[in-house]
Amino acid sequence: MPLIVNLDVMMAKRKMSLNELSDKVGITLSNLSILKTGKAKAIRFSTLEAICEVLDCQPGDILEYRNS
Amino acid sequence: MKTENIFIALTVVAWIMFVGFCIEAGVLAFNVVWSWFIENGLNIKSMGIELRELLSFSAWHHTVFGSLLTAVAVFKALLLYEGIKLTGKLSLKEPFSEWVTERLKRMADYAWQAAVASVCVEIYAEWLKKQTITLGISFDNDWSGFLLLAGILYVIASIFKRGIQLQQENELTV
Repeated sequence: MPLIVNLDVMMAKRKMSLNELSDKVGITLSNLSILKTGKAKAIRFSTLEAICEVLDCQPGDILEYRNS
Repeated sequence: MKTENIFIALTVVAWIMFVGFCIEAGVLAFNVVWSWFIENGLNIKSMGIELRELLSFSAWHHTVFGSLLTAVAVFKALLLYEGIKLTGKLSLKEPFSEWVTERLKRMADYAWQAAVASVCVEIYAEWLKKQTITLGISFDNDWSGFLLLAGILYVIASIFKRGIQLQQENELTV
């Protein structure tokens, strides 16, 4: 899929672990893992909004379109 | 009435019918084999079938016609067996699964095969009647019901296939 999820990059920049992000965002660890590994088929606006708020970033910092 | 209770009732009815068709298939198959060794064949009038006149006409026709009748009963039994497995394991919380789709497809296949075998039996019986042989069987367009059932089951299986995709998408939405 040409859409890349850069969640791990942003987490590394903010020095935040998956457990911490899971607690702060309020979604399960398994769902975050699905998102991080790029297995997710869709992301809700509410989830994206919460992640952006916690990581203090823009949606474009997490999602990237790469033409393969 | 709760859906679970309906499923239990359906399973019980399917089990009774399954046993019935197994007995019918067994008796018919035994009758065919028996006629190879004993000249008069079995009296299976109680099942609504009288094949002894056919046996006296031709042992070959008796074997073929008996085998076709057995095949119809076997396909009906297999159809019900798949139905029993389906109602026994179907989860209403997550109904869309590959397993359920596979069961539905198999049921459709068996219904289709039962319809084809029924058509063959009916055509064969018509031909035999023209040879002035009384079979003692009444046909009430069995095949059309099975054909319709096969069609409906194929459609449901296709819907389930799409349902699996939607369920997976839903599971992978974060």
